[in-house]
Amino acid sequence: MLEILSHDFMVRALIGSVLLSVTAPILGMFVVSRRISLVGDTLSHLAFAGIAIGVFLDFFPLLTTITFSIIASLLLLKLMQSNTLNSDAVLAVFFSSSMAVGTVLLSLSERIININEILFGSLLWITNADIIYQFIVAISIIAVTTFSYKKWFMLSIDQDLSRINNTNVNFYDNLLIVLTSILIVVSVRMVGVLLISSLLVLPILIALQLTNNFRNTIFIAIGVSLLCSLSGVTSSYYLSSHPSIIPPSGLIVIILSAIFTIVLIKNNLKIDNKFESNF
Amino acid sequence: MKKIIELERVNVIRNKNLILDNISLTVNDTDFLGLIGPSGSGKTTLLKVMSGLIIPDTGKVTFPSKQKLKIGYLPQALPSLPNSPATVMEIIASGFNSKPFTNNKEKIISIAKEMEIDQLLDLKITQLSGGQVQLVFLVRALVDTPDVIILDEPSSSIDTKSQSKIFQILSNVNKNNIPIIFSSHDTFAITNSANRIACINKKLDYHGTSKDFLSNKHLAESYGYGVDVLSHQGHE
Repeated sequence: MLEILSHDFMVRALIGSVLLSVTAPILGMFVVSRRISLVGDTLSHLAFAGIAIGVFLDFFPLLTTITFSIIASLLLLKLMQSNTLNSDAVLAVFFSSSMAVGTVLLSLSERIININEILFGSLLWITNADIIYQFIVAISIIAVTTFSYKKWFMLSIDQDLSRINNTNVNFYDNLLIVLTSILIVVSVRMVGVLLISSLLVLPILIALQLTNNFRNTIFIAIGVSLLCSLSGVTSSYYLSSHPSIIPPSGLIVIILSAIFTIVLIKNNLKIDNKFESNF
Repeated sequence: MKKIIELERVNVIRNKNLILDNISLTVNDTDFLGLIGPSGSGKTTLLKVMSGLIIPDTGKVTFPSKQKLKIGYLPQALPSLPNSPATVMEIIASGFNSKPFTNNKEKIISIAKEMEIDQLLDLKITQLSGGQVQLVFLVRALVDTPDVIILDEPSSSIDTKSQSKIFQILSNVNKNNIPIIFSSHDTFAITNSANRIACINKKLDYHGTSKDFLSNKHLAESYGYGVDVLSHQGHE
């Protein structure tokens, strides 16, 4: 274990995975309970287009990516809330068009970019600056959630009741989607655009099977996420051998999916047994 | 007697259909107002206009007693929460506008006891029946001592025993000069609890005391409160 810590890139990867494990389930809880889980997936695809625009323009890439992601995510939300199109149709359009824009712009870019690293993330790709950005975003997410918890909780129950309680529904919806976009952009180097939404959704789905109240679901999801992320990053280090490098994101999501399957089967068996014992 | 809500010439139009037609109505602090009318007559829309959820296309809604009213609201269509981990306690606590939860636990328990749902407080909302969920959201509407209570079909999924209990509790709340406005098809609730009745069928056909409404046989019968119902309720 100590050998892992002798490499700077592994230390950065472990710190990054801890920060992501704490923040992704916090926002994931509200995304899942608002029943907009696929929004996370679409936001990560928008981040792909954002990265491509940043690379293509070669003008403050991170700032360009974040700006594009925020604007596109707000537009996505606005279209989903309007009655002109079904939400799933809006998601489908954004999903495919952002991938198309990303692929074309990366091909046109003069810089040599490894698309695999953007899609699946890489341990070697994480820099000290990434950790600082992730840390700032983590602090912001915790602070905003502390103040917005009750509003987001109520929004996950009913929008009309939130309005009656003087909640500016649009503001809190926009806040949630903007924070999720920013989290995805700053975490993409580690997990990649294709798998990051799993970290928003899977820990929550596991925690939902284990908990009996809303608040505890978040804490259990953070615990599950920490366990899986640290195991995934560590396994990636030990299982990779040059030239084949296993992306940690793949391992993290496989571990999360395995735990989700086990917990789901165990809970369903429990329900079946209870049902049988009643007869 | 204080005016709490005032509607002046309110019109609501949806998809070129007139839903509410020129409604003027005042709700006072002592009112226990029962809203009756056939399905599709605009009862829910009127309650949403009063609670600020729908802005009328023309006309005015004012709150003469306060700039911003604290409203306890029970929607007709209760939220569908198939996988929510939220507990009954968490949902009721969200009815408080600002105070921290710790100060409110006692109050939640006391109202839940009155409504006989205190044993449900630690359960997930998904574990409850439709009627129990309705009681939970009713407690949520009452818990923060609102300035006005607006209830859309408060007893639609609830058993008869709980219905009379609810209306007894609401009557007690109303005695503290908190107006209650509710829509219902339940003749018992309308004839026994409400002190004022508003009959709407897009237009306001009647607004006055329950006594006057019930003594106007032609009007009462046209709204389904015929001789049979009245004699059954002991009003003949």
